[in-house]
Amino acid sequence: MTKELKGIAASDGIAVAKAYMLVEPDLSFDQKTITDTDAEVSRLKDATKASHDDLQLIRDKAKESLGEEEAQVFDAHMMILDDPEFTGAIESKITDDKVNAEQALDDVSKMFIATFEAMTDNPYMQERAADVKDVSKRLLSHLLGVALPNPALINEEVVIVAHDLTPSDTAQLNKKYVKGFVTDIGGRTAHSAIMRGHWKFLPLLVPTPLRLALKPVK
Amino acid sequence: METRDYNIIADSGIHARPATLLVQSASKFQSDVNLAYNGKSVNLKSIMGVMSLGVGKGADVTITAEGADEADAIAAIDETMKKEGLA
Repeated sequence: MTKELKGIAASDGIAVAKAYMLVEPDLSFDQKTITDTDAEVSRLKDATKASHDDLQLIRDKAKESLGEEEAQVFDAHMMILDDPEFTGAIESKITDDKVNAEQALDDVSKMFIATFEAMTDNPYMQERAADVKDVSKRLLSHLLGVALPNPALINEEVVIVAHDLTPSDTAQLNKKYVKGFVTDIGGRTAHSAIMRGHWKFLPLLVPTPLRLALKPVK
Repeated sequence: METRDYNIIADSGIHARPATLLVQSASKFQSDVNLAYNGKSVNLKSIMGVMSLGVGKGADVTITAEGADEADAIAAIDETMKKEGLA
């Protein structure tokens, strides 16, 4: 398949490599009423374990390619997964409100995100809101049985094509393999994520609107 | 129940790294461990709970442990508090 994208060069250079489509899968779900809450809690536990395994793998990869300090963001993610106030609250919601795990997770993560984002005098806590979002997304993907892209596992030369990138996305990228970026000009955090450290020396193209050209991978 | 009071002397309070270490210390024990500050009490085994308190420099906090290994828990947390220069 060939598709031509034109845009502004936000960072000059030429890169020729395979496009790696960093596209989020469809994570939509419906609220359901659950009768067997034990089975639902155990589904949550399985998804938590699978997310933990992902993060451990990504952490190991990030340490190899980026160093210990960048890898520590994934320790923070694992701690959120292990947090009794987080997973405990999701479990209680399943048991008390008899809702599916996806809905319970969504309610609880929104509650924490809102609390942290409200601490406007504390930029550190606002960053933690982003961590909660990241972790919730991973957990939700496992509940729904859809795979999130794992850019940490890229093992050939690529140009990253994405609507938006977060610092935790770029933390997973291997300098050896990433040759350039194409991101949407409307991407909220991509620019600041790429303009740090090593990445700012790579070519960056910003076509707009890119979102229309990207379709979730089924 | 074991209780210990602290006045936080670290410039940036109980922020990311020390919060993580405190949670890791508390999580090793079976006892219920809580951190109270400014009229609110949170589970010291919860990173999100601890961080949401936003404990800054000069804060007076109380740590309590209740359970079979409460004395050991308080001792371990006390060590972390001092080692990290929190109190």
